[in-house]
Amino acid sequence: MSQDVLIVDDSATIRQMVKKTMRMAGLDLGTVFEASNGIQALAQLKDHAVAAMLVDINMPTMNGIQLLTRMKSNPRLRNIPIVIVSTEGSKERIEQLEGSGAFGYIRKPFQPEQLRDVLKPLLGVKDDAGSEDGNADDADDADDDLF
Amino acid sequence: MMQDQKTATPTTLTTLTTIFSDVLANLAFMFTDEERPEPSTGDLWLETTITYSGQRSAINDRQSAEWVREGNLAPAAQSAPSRRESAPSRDREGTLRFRCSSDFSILLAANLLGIDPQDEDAEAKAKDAVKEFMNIICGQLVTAIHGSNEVFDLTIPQIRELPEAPNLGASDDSESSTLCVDGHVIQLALTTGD
Repeated sequence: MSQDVLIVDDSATIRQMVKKTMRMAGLDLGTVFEASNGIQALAQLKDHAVAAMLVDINMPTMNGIQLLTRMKSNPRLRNIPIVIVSTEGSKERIEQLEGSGAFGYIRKPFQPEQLRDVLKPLLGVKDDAGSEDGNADDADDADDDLF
Repeated sequence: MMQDQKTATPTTLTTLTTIFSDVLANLAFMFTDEERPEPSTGDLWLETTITYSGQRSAINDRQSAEWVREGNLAPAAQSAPSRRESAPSRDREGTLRFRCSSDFSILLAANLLGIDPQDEDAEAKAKDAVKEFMNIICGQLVTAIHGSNEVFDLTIPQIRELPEAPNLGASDDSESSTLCVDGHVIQLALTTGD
């Protein structure tokens, strides 16, 4: 079953790139929603249920870390898997993100395979006949390898 | 690939140039040319800046403290531990400046999006593409220069149109790398406050 995704990045170019890359990777995508900062993302989540989010850190208004913190304190939103897509290279901050409940981390610039590997347990892949990967067990198993 | 012959530190300049060309290649599949044409004075030019700032991380300081306790410091340094412990962590900051023609920014956007440069979406997203390019370059550069044990904050990139074509050979306090990509001269410059 196709899964909806929310991309949160202040760059329209990156949002378009990520969307295109996800489609090319064969992920079983439904609707891809977009937001350019954390506030817009929270507004989108009021109207739409998504299976995963791809979130940048360095954004105006509400950055990715603030969004992650806000979502984890909200019972309705805390279980949505958040994959951070950022230029961040600091071990401390990446560990902080993991400790705050981020599902995975992808550093820009990324290869399509990286996106696919992180999102496959959450969304499943269209081409894999008979193997829907989007279940919670797979997501838990994959968790340790995504940072 | 060319580097400006200024008073640049070779290591930093090499790192700057390597990351500059690597991000172009990995992000946008754009590769540097050997030839360097003169910048066209008739083009509209853009200047984009981004600033990073940070301090030595707590993890790093803890590791350093343990390292000192284990007796790894030379006797002269061990005799003045109070200075080390009382001094504030070393601040790090720098500003990256990128100059390119408007035509190059359209080409960059087209390559990022996988569309034709004539596509109106390429022109519409040209400035956004340059800002994101700078964000990525800056993130890569701070890790390459300062390592991954330190935490840095990056500003949102700012872009402006220049009133006239810049003199890319002009000397200032920055370390700069000038490349030619697909017939366009582009320049990345780093000014540090260290």
